[in-house]
Amino acid sequence: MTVSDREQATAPPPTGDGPVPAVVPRRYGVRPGQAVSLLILAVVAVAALAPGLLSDADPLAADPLHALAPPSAPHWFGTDHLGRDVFSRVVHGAGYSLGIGAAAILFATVLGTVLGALAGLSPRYVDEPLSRLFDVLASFPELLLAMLVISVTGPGAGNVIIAIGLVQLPNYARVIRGQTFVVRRSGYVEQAVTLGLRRPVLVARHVLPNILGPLPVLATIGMGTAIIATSGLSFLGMGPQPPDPEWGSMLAEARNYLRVAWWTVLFPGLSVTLTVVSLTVVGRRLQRRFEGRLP
Amino acid sequence: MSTLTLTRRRGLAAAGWTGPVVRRLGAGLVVLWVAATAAYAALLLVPGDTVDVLIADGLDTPQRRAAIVAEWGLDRPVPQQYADYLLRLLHGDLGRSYVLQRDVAEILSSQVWPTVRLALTAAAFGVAIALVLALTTAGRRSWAGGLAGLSELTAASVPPFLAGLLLLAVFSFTLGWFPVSGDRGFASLVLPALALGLQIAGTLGQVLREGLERALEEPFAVTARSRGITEWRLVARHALRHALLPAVTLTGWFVGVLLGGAIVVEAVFGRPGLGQITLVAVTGKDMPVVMAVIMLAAAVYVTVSTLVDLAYLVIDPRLRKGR
Amino acid sequence: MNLIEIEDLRVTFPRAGVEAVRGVNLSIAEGECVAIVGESGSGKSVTARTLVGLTGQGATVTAGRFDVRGRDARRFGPRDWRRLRGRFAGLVLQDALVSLDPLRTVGAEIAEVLAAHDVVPRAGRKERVLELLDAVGVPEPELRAGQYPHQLSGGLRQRALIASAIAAGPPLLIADEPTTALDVTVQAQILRLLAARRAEGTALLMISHDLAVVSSIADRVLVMKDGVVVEEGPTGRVLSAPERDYTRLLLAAVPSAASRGTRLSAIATGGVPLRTPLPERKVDHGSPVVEVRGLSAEYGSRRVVDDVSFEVHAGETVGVVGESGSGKTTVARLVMGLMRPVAGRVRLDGSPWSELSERERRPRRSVIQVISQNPLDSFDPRYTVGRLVAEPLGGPGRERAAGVAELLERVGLPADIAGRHPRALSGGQRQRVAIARALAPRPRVLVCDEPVSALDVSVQAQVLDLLGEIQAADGTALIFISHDLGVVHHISDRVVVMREGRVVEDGHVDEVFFLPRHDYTRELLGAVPKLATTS
Repeated sequence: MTVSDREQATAPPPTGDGPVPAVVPRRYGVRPGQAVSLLILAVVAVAALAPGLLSDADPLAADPLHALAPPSAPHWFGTDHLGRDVFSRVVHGAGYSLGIGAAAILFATVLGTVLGALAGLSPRYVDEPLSRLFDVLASFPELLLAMLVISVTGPGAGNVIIAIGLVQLPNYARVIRGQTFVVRRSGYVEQAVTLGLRRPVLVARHVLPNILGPLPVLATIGMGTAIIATSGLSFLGMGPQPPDPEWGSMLAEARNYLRVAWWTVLFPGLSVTLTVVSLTVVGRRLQRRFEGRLP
Repeated sequence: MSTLTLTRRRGLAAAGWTGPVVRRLGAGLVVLWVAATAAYAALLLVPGDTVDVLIADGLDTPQRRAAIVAEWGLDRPVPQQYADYLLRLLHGDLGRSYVLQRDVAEILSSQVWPTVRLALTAAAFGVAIALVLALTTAGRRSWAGGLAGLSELTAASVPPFLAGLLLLAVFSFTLGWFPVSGDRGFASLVLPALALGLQIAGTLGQVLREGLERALEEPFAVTARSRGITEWRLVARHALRHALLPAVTLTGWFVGVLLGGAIVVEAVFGRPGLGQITLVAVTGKDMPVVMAVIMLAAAVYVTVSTLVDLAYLVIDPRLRKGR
Repeated sequence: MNLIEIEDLRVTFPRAGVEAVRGVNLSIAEGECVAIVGESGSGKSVTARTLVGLTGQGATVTAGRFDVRGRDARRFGPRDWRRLRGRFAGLVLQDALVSLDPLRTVGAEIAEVLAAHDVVPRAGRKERVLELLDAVGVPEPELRAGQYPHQLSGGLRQRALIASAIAAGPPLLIADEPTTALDVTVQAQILRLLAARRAEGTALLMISHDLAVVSSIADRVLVMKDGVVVEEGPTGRVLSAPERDYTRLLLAAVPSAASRGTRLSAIATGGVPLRTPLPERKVDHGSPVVEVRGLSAEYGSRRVVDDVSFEVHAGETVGVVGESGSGKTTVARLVMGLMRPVAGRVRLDGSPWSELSERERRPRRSVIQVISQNPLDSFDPRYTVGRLVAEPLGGPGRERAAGVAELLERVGLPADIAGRHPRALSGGQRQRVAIARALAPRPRVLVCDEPVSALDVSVQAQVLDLLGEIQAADGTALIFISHDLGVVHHISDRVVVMREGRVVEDGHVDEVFFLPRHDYTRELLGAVPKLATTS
């Protein structure tokens, strides 16, 4: 009989000096949800890199006779108001959404890392204004900041990349700056000093690699945010211009037919959501692994 | 516990509040100043002659050109223009929209309330849903916890405009429970607020649950249990405060989500408000309005984040200076 | 009727695959003080927490008999357990900084017990809280009740935690490592407080890794290992005439004045364990390797080290003892050249050291190496054991690999550990890795900052033995910083006693510890719990 199983007290068995993780903790294994997420991301990646493999229909070919046809064998996801194949548009749209997201994140990580590391390694009079700049950038609602950028540059994929990249930049810069502080004051950097390592060696060997540690996690999760932001901007008509099949702009067009053709909304919407959910799931998995490394 | 917060109220200074408050307000002013500067820089960066930019799609007459040059001091050197601009902002003068032929302050103030209503309702929905989800499922390693986690994740991953479209499809078109568009009474507020609040509910729910679960594993939770209190009391009196700390950090982000989301949600539901104004201004390149919206957003953010930092001091005594 | 009567208690954590407790019998009579002693992983804490139904999530508890005041606890539901907690048994955990809710006032924490069991009507609770704080010896209860745990000193915090455990007047107090992490003088006060509760008739279950702490207070001792009670009996008998080898070895592993010059990891003989002598050390009394003169340091404007002087010769061990905040770790950092003194200087090998620029110091860094309390912090989180130990070694890859293997062997680690990650090692193994790395540049001085404080007694014994062997073989000078007077007495030749940044007394370790001249040294020595061994 169990006496206290129901009580949710928590006292993990003290392991103290015992061989610590004798068994690999369960959470390091891949769970079903994570496997599904990886699968979804793989499919989306294929769609983005080689859409022809998944759909041979032309995403731009209009067929007014078969406009707004519900899902069927030739058109798995139905057709839109111009009779274009929704499945093919969704597949080809992955390239825009993922491409813009990835480019924006690349922009944000590179610039954010450089600025963040600069702030973290510099004396106060450099760090202070830079940190304030990060604060200000982070203080703008991201969609608004992106719209400010676009009101200067005009709509288009390239401008969306810059806008979203700028919006995400402070996230990376702040984390990298914080990480720089942590690593600089860490026991292992001090230890490296006592070993007599020269400063450039020390920075290259112990400081930089450990500062960059959280980047993959941030980038994966940030990619999800970037895809949401991209679709929002496209929805408002500020992203790739029609007839390009970006998911957000597809939704903007489909919105007028919501009452009669649910499939034109559902499938692009599902693509955005599933991609973002999968990115988050994978990102968290990476995060747990990363945190596991740091006791 | 409430009976025993004896020495807490002995003036801000005694509690070690003055320092953080002053620092916070100073930082807020800096943010506002940089925001104003950024907006101004954006104006100068737009390609083309500044007068043309300011007129945008408005009527182009020599008189109006002269008025613009006079208002923005465009015949004077840039540093002086900039100083004048800051001075005008200090006086609360947000300038004039030459597209809409109205003062910007007037435009904003006429449209601000629908958006405030929407944002507050959405925040209330978001917080309520998150709290209910987190409190009822935290620490449960069962299907209920997993399901709640999955729905939070999904809610956080659906763009607000998509949530709006889906809600419209189900509750307006199919079920006919709520009006499709417009701003007429509470019924027309429910779906937009839900669409906007879902992302907050999802994110906040995840953070709260994680915080609760972490707090329930702390040694003080064992001590508290060893006093014979109920699990519910443990969560309400101990764990929730700990879980709120990381959640409070996100408040600034929520403001961004609400303001940005308002733009798309107002577009989806055809509601009047700041979002519509902003959208029209951005597409029409009505820079005075865009700049004013930026300033307004920065002001809201500064206010909220200052309050958040103070909330931090209230929740976590360890952050107060001194003994 | 006994308060607790348990037979064949078994606790398993099926998900983690751990059998934490395997068939323990335990009884506690009214007013009795029972102690459970054991190293980490012995199941002592789990046993204690099971008594109040707080074993933990996912635990399966079974028992042949589990009576709490004559009632069968095997049939208890959550509500029954709740009524028992606080009212029947109070729980005191280690380190009140985290065991009291840091976001709530001390008074609110104590009042919670009163509210949960409705012991005192709402109106009288505040007054009762103040009485309780007064009863556990917290001065100015009015002020303290409104403060948060972080505003109280370690000793006061622990007293407040005890006040909350006894608030509902339970006949049993369960104290799980109640004095661990406290300074010795504070520990002595807390032990006196617990003894006073006991004198008033409260039964006490003490859980501790420290035999000496237990010996002053317990009537009966249970020695646990791997979830099983190895030995049980009256405290005096168990500590003076242990019947089991495990208990004997545990006692032999405790460092003290008597163990100087011998290995602490003794050999079981079936009778009195055999302590083999450590190899002879040669102290070179010529010019000192490290010379500290008038050293002072400040953090901000606060002086943390004030006019400290001592010297260390080759082959010699100088112990630095003091309580927390005495500045001993800062001394280590100064000697390592990681911090600049505001006055005074450190000379290394007869030439300047502390006043050098980092560039000048760098080539000589290999002469002096450090071993810290938490080795994991000093390991680059991305590195394997092999890379860590290889880093200070120069030369081509093959030579380095051979060097790593040799060093690992020297510190008693298997060679295949080189490919593993330090996080996957036990605390003792990690400390050995740290030692191997520190030895790699062939230093002449080792600065050891609390190197064994986080280790179990038997592991501590092995690490101390290892340090002794290394010193004898290499003639290394050791600066050994510790709060544990027994450890310092065991290992040091000379000792420096520090308090609030100043040296209060120094000299040969026997002289200082047997014939202390300074009041503070006397106070320190008086506070150390003594093992009541008479054999």
